Amino acid sequence: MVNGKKKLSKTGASPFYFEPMRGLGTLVTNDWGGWAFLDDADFAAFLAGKIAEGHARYPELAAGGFLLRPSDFISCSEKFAGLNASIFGGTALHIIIPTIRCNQKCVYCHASAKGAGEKQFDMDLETARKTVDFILSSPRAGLDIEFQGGEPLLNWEVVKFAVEYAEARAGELKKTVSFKLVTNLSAMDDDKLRFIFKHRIAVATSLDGPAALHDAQRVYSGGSGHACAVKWIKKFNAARPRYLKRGYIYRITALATVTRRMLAKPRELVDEYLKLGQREVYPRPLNPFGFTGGNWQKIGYTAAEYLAFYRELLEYLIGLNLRGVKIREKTAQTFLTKILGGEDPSHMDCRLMCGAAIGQLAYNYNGDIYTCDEGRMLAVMGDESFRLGSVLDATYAGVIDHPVTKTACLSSCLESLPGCSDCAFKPFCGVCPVNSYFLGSLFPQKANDQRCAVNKGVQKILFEKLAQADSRAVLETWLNAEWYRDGAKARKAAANA
Amino acid sequence: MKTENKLSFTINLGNYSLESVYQAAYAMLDRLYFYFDKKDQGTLLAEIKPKGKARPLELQALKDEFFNELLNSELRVLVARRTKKIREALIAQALIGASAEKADYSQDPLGIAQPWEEKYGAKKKNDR
Repeated sequence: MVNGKKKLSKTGASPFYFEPMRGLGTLVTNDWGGWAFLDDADFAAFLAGKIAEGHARYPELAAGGFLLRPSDFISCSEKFAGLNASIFGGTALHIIIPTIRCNQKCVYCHASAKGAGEKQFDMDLETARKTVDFILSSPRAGLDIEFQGGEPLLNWEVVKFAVEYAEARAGELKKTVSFKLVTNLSAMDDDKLRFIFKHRIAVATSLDGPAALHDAQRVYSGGSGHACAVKWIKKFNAARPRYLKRGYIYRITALATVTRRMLAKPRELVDEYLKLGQREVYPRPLNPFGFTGGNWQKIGYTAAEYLAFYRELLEYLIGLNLRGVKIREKTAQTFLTKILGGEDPSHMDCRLMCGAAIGQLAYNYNGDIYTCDEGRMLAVMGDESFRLGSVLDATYAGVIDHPVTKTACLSSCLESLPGCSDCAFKPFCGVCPVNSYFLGSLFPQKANDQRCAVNKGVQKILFEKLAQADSRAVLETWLNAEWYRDGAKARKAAANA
Repeated sequence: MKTENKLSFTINLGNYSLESVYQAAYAMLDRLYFYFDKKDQGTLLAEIKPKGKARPLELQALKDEFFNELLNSELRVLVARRTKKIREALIAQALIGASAEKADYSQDPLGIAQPWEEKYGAKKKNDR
């Protein structure tokens, strides 16, 4: 280890963070997205200010903004702004909960969903109208509305109304709205699918691997939830080319919630996705909300166990890609958008300041407004700490100016969090204040924070892979936007039409 | 009688700042309890106690790890201190750039470029 006090140069000092990486030297990063691996000799030379023109590492470190020259000032500040663009963009994502009823009972349900027959937990049309009006009162011109639940298809009337009403009002107000539906697909039918394509609604579902695993985790009284998901994913994929010509650009995406049962089966998970023609796997570690807490002894795991799963999954995917099979991992793609692309992926969990209220808002079935979906999940558990008001009487400015909004910003700003402010992964990472609050402290205590261990661990694995030329070549292809949206194809088709 | 499993040592504050000591301890809070006291002007008395089971050799290894972490922390504190101004200036520049993008002068939100007559109507003959 270098004794920093004696060897750190006083001249030409550029802000940087560092992390010793076993077998790879030291990873250095900075706030404008630069990163590099330095062996001990180069790191010592860097600290001593001895990397100048003519040094083998000079071009790379200069390009990464590690050797700040006056001419770099503007470009580095622009890169910082690009890496954190969503902070400056206002609240884009609005999550509407048409119902908190669900027809499946998942062992890890984060939303504490109610039984399918409990219709008192449905949003009514008037609340839906007021919710859309509230969303459109945002100063942003481009807005994303996402329907979640519960199972939103159980209150299809409200989904349909909200989409049509939002489209009409957005047109009048000269705004644009895009839609996303998060559904388990079990209540899907042909009419709904046609509506989805017609109104260009992106669809995301859950697919927890092969049938035995999926159905054990996601209990469905109507039969096999896996069979329903597979049937509609196939139907969706079969119909999509027809609608591509009419501008429907999205692929159906799926995420898999990782429980202890899944830890030993990363390859089976990937194979299941491949079988269905999916091009993206999105494994998500458990979060502590809802039913997870009560089932933790049965389904929980340590961060180290999750990371072993993740490493095997990632290496399997990279191997497949090297053999010409195109399938990517979504968490990696999110981090890599920052690490390799220098761009902000607009991911709420991966920001210099969490997206709670300033990046997303969640609207419960009764019109209550929360900082985010996690804040709403907490409310279903009886804790209203992250409630910002109701669409019945709140104003948009009042919600953004709300003390809870300010608290969420303050407690999630990485610049001020011990353990985050000088972490090598800070430029690419983020925290969730609701998660921290739920686990005991609004300001997370990093050493004891499983979420931090997972985020840091995943990034360490990614950097390790970026140090290997063949793996890096694969990971670079995962950034291509066309992977998920067939934008180029759609544009070409539209031009031909 | 069972003795408590803990380890005491001193930290020379001439080599390490108190800030670095806290930072290094913070990074290991998941495994250790820390107790600090000032022995004299330049020396900190530290005591560590494992949160789980740890044999004396393992506790010694944790102490060694703490001193490695202390070096990392000292370097982080030094880098942050020496680069504070340039970092603040760069981020301030990014923030100013972002606000300037939002405030589009060509939209003239305060109506500065609007002629008086257009803004308030033509002055009537009788008005003074």
